[in-house]
Amino acid sequence: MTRRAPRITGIGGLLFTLFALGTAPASAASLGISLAAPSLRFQASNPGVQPTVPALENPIAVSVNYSGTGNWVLNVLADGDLLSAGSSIPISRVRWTANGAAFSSGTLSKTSPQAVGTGNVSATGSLSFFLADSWNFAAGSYAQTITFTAVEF
Amino acid sequence: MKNVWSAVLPVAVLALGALGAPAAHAQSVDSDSSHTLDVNLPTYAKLTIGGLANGNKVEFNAAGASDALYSDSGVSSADSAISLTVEARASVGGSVVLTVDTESANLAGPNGASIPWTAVSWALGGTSGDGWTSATAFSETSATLLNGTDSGQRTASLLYKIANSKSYAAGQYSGTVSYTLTVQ
Repeated sequence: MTRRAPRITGIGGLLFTLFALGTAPASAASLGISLAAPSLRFQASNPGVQPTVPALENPIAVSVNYSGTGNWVLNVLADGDLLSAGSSIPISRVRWTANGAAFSSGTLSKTSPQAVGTGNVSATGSLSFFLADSWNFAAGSYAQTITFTAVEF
Repeated sequence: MKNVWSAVLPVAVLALGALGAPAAHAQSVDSDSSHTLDVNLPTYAKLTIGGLANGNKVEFNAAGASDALYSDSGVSSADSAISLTVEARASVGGSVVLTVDTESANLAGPNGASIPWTAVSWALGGTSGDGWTSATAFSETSATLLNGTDSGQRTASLLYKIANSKSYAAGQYSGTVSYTLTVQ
């Protein structure tokens, strides 16, 4: 956003400038994200029959509420691999598909944020998460935290 | 006048700085939302037996009078080797055990004739994965074919043989074995 700065021509001009700048907060951008599920649960069974395990919460409503004049990007980053006692599953075994023009599909990463969506206005859509199962994974309960971050640019 | 400016300017500059900061922050707002992934992988076992040409039967044909029928190599099953595919999801360090058990001590023949299951042996080949045992015959009525640990897919081929004997009465003998896969 560009703004022409008025010329300062004395106290009057200075006060005008202050007044003009003082109006900026009224138009300050706000950005919020909402994902309908606080946790995503995967219940696997026979990897030979169900090699891809959908999250029980699929599809998950996602919304980005934005009031600004720039653009926003929504990323997701995992804190690490899926962890259980004495075992782990690479977080890259979890991918998602997206519905909604602003959102895109991808694969989770623990090292670099992955783009989930981008836009310049508020957007709604849905995400569906899937785990690529394997006979090589040990039985157990695994957990990990992922964080969605929306940033204006 | 100069005094007035000197008094106003610091205030103005301070005000500009104070107002400028929110404007700059408004250009880089962000929002976070953390979520938990919970994955439950239960233990699971799947055993697939293939290669049997006649349903679930393994057939031996000892017809003929050749002395070769009574050699140590025994009589191979008429079927080619059967295939064993073990798919197991075990806990960390959990066991994966495949056993084969007979339903009785003997193969039942005509008029009460019998052949002990201990006369039946096998050869395991083409194994993949860990834990396949070196057992080649029944110990009484049971044998362990696989004793491994941890999840994974394992395969092997198994060719049954029966040690023939001139003491066996002519006729048709039959018996049943059961395979059991246990995963922990």
